[in-house]
Amino acid sequence: MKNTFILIIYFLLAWIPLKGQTQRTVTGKVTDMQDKISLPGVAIMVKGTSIGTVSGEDGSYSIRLMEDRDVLLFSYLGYATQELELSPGQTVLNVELSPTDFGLDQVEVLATGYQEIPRERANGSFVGIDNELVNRRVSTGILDRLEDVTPGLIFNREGTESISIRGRSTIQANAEPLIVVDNFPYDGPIENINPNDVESVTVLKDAAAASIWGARAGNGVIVITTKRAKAGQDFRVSFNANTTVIEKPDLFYNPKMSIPSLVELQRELFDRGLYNSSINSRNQSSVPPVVEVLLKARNGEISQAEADALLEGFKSRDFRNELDQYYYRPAVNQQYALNLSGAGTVHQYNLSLGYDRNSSQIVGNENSRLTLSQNNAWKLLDDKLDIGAGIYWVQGKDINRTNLARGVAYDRLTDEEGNPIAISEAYSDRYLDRIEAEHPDLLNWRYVPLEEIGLLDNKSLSADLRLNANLGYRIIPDLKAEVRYQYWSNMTETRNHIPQEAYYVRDLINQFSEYDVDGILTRHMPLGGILDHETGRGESHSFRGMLSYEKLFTNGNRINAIGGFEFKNLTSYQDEIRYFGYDDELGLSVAVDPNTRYRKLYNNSLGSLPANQSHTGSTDRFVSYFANASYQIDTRFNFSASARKDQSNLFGVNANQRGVPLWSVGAGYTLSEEKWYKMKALPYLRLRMTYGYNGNVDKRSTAYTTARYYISSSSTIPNLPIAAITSPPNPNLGWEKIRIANLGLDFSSKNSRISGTLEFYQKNGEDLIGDIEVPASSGFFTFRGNFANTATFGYDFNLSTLNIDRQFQWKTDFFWSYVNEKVTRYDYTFPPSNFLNTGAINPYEGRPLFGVYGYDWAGLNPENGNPLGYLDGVPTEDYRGILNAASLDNLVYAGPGRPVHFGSIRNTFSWKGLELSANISFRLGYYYRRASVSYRNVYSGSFEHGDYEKRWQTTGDELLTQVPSMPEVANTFRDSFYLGSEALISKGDHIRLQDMRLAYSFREGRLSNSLIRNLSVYTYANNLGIIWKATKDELDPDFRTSRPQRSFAVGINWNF
Amino acid sequence: MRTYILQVTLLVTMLLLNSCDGFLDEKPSKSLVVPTTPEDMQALLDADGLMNTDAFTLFLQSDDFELEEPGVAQLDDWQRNAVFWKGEIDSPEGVTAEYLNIYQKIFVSHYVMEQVADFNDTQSQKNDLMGQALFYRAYGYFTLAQLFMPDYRIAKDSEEEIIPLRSKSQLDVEVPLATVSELYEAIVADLDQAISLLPETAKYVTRPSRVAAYALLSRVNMAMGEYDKALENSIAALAINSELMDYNGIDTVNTYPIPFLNEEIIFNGIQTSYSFSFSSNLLVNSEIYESYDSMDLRKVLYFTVNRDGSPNFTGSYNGNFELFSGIAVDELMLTAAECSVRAGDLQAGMDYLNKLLETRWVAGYYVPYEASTQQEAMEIILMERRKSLLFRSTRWMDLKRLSNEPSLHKTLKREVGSFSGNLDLSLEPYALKIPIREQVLEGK
Repeated sequence: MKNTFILIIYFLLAWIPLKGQTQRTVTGKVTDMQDKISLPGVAIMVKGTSIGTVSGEDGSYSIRLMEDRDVLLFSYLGYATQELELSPGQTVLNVELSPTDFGLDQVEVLATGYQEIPRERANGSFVGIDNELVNRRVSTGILDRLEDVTPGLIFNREGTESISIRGRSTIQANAEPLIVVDNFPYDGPIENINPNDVESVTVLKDAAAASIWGARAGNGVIVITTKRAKAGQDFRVSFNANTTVIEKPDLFYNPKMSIPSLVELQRELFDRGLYNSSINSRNQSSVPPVVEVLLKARNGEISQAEADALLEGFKSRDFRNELDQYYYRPAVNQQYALNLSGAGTVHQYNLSLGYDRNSSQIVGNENSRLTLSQNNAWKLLDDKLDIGAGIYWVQGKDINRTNLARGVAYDRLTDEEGNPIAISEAYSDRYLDRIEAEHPDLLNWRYVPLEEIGLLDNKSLSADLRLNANLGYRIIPDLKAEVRYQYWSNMTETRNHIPQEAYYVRDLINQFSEYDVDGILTRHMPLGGILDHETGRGESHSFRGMLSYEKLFTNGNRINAIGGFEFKNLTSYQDEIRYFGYDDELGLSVAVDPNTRYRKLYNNSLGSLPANQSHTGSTDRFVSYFANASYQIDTRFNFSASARKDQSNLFGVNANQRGVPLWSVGAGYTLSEEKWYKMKALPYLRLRMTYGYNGNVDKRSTAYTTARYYISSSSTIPNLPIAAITSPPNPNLGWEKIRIANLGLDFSSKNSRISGTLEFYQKNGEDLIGDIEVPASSGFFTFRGNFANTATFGYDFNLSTLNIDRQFQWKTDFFWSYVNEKVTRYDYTFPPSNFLNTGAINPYEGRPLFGVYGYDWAGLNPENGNPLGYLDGVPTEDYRGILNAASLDNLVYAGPGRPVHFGSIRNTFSWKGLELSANISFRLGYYYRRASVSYRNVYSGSFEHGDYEKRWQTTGDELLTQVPSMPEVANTFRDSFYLGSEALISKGDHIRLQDMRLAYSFREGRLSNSLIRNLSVYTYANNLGIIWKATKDELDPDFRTSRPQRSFAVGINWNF
Repeated sequence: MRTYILQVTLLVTMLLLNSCDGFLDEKPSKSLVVPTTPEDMQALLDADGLMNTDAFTLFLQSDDFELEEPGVAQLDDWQRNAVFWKGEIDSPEGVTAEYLNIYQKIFVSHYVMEQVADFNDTQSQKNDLMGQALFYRAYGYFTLAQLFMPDYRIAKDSEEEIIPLRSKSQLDVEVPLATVSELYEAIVADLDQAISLLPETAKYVTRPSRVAAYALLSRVNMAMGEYDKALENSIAALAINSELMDYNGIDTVNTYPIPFLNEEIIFNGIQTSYSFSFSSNLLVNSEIYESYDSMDLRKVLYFTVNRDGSPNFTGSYNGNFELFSGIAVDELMLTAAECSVRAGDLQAGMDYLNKLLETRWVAGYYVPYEASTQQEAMEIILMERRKSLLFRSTRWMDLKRLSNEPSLHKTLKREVGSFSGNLDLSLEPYALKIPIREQVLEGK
């Protein structure tokens, strides 16, 4: 009801025609003379007075004049200052400024989510990604568009967080950057943001840039601004459509032992008696087909010759080919986006419509997204009042009809005639044959994968709504009051209907079938399908009140300040329930008794029906106060400071620990504005420094003992509410703080042929939350508290050059980032075995959070192919001894597990309407551990790593291979030593051709049709391949389980 | 106009700031609580997955079972060390989950005790919760004593400080180590107090009650060799509940035929499950298996025979593959029988035994035992104790206490492939070592 009300108000507001009134005020717009873009932040002064103003984000300004004054001064960095005289009675003055020959060719405005700052007044570390760059890639999601174009930002291949900005600055707390969409943190899934709706993205990297976001800025901030109409533009329509084809996954990418090896291995293990316990198991467990055949031979049901022939048959099959044939297909992503925008003097509007439809690589599965957004802005009362309102609606749909078939490496999906056949899944064929004969009234208990294709009916629907409203009033020319409000809601509904025909349901019904002494069948689980129904809803209200003050003094100095508060309430809940005996035709289901334990038919154990019932709910609340001020002394110096205090409903914390104050200071110095500055080669040079704190919060840690309630049907007393302790008390718990110092240098050559930025930074994580080990007698294994410090040093360098600037143009954009992160304090040293898990965080003083370690390797023993390690400096086969003696002193530290250097070089060539760009990315200075064969797994008969084929088999092999021989019996210590050894560590360094884009645009005039302002067609190819890598390992160092699939896209962009 | 707007802004701000205190008090997750109420305490104590789950290590050190090479291959290193009596069960993580769970149980007990101490609720609920917490603490420490301390009678005068003895939930406190006599003293004191606080019976057998506390205390008395007290406490428990199932009424169709939550159970406990604990590689001690009479229903109900003739145990009082480790009436009857004989009352002892066994045989076939000497009576009772309490986790305690008596003592020996171990509990005080991780972290 409340939402409906908001909607009605919104729509009423949107269409009320309002007209501005003119007074004794001069208004106008400042634009660039060459490309007509609006110039924000232009200083406008009334000559001979201290009265001045600054143009807004759309380049418009409004200034009150005294009657006797009629000359206005327009000055802007990088542009020639203009002095213009007003004719009597003139109230509108539009101005075009011409760039000076040494200026930046374009004025970049950086959005922080609170204000927009022109690049040359920003002291902090920002990366601005403009619309052209946002649109360069073709993808469904927005974050993909940032990859390899953002200095300091890396997409991780190891660890839990997908993106890191200048390294990871936390250990246990949330490590993802904060994502801000249209001024407020975005609470929904980022997949809901349609990249076609995005105008620009700004990445905030240091304290000064991000501290305005306070306790949530510790991991950096990504500010996304959606499209708006540009002031003064005429009505525009643009349409973008593209189709991407993504190749099938390569199932043979992961090296595996050969199928004949596996068959022989299982035969050998059968002879050794390994399968006897499974064969006799009361769980009627299935055993591999090889074992079934050999068992039949042993029991005399078939002859040895028949068995051998069957085994030979297995050797020539490959399940991966079957999966490839029946389940996989190239995925196709289709994307359509339509955008309408226009602006008058009073009203600006933008309407976008987007539709994405992606078919998955597995047959029958697909998802789609429909986005609809509209925003309006009005300027009223002589531009003193501005009102904005926006609505964003996203509807997502995810359909799953097929699960991948499960089978052994040499299983088949069809018989010789191509008919679907059964694969033995949980139970042995022997049991199924017997039980089927004994109880013909059971449901078919066989798993026939091909008959399951398309059988599921799993639909997830989500609806995401975001409403924005803002109201600004210029109380006096220098002071503006602003309020912003955002309502967000997300509803998801998942209906997973598994019909009775599906193996999953038939299996459960049979498991819960019981026969009494007279052989009468009782089904404790009703016939019919299963319907899992899950609904979820998230909702947030965000409110911000802010005052901004901006004053320009006659001496050219400028003060700029904002201050305000905001609060937010985010609630969510999820409910899940399962219906049995569901009939989709009639909409009927049958109530069951989830409490009684029944005897399961196949193993007679007690179990209750798997009723899924759960409820979760959460509430996050934040209250924050912020202030930010900058003072500019003429065009040379700029000082800035900001402070913020955040409070949250942290659980089990004393009220005085709920908040954390954070601050930053910064200074900028434009050397090239000094009179003594004479460097002709670099007409623009600016130095800037910032220092301050960002924060992070771990909402899972608490000061009191906390517990979580459960109800479980598998408790001894079913459905009795029980509670389990989730965390021990830590009365000294505090917030994480990240201290950042940043030093930056911006430069630009004559005509901006060469421009770039070099930034050095030092980031120190203080009181980071980490786990330390505690004696188990406390009741806990580890204890979470503020036990860690980290120090990160790094630099980001980016350079843009215009190499050739004729009819043929060649541009190069290059960036190089260096991140060296180290743990400087950790109050506990974990056991050495922890350090052998790569991809896990291994804190140790002086080393990075992600390090790659290994046992010292002494090669293979030429006599028996056993791996050799060192114990007290002597090569040995005493693996248990090596493992026990391991310490951080004798483990080999190879190096960081995450790239220390990374970057990309993007070359863009254009000739007439044709444009080709290629992005080459590189990642250097890191290590990874290769997978290899575990003989313990070999001895359990599993389809092991391909290194099995490269193992040592005879003396001399040690010169060719590092893979140990197959031991007589499985030895876990030998496996652990080899798999943890230095021999499997490789250098990850590589350079890859990430993508290429070729576009052709028909310029205005070239097409006679006046409807077309601009038409371009483009193709885009992604994941093109590795150009160079340091390791000889055949796998991609960054994608070791599955290769990134190549994709190819074709699209059209039409503006009229 | 200007001042008006400023005033309004200021007012709104003030209002918002005032409402902040309550605004930030909302708890972040529905199911998350800082447990403080009596209901919270009961819910913590009802978490049977933790509170009623016992260490499998007790069973692993016993001679209730046999295994062959595939069984050994199924064991983790620490389990193998327990099976072959290697004196330590350090696991790759430093300590086993079982070890941690015992102390987690003790943490919950302490937390409940501390919260309950501040209650001014109705006396009975406060007493009940306090009694339950005391029971669980005693249960936890008793398991530790059996695993990590030598037999009580051998080591009661030893000054050696062995087991970390915590007395509150707070983590960062100095933890003293207890000697054998200190620890047993604490266990007995907790149970004495629990008996005075707990209601006679509980609503669910997963909850401690006075009868359960008497039963546990009689077990502790047995472990200490204080047989007169064991008799006294088992009789006190039997006075509250002495109901026995008639095995003739149990349906043999099921693989696990003993009914779940049956009337014999006084306190329900489950041994931690591992792949080995319900594997067909876990074989019953063949000597015991052979000793059952064909008319003894225990033979029919307790075992399933594999195709190769080897027996698996399927007679868990949990009616499932999970092994029972709680206390049932049959154990109390056997305790009372043994202690009566030890006290010299042969007739009373035989009466307890016969009353029990009558319900375990095919109706009409049971011939009551008679014994003429104390030695004979003891031998009969102890054999029947083994045959009834098989796979219950009490055998390790029995092995330890009987090692004091040369006539009842048994040396242990195991040999499977390349693995072997033997143990003579009468020769030296034997116990597992506290894991090295713990010694390091406790700073002892």
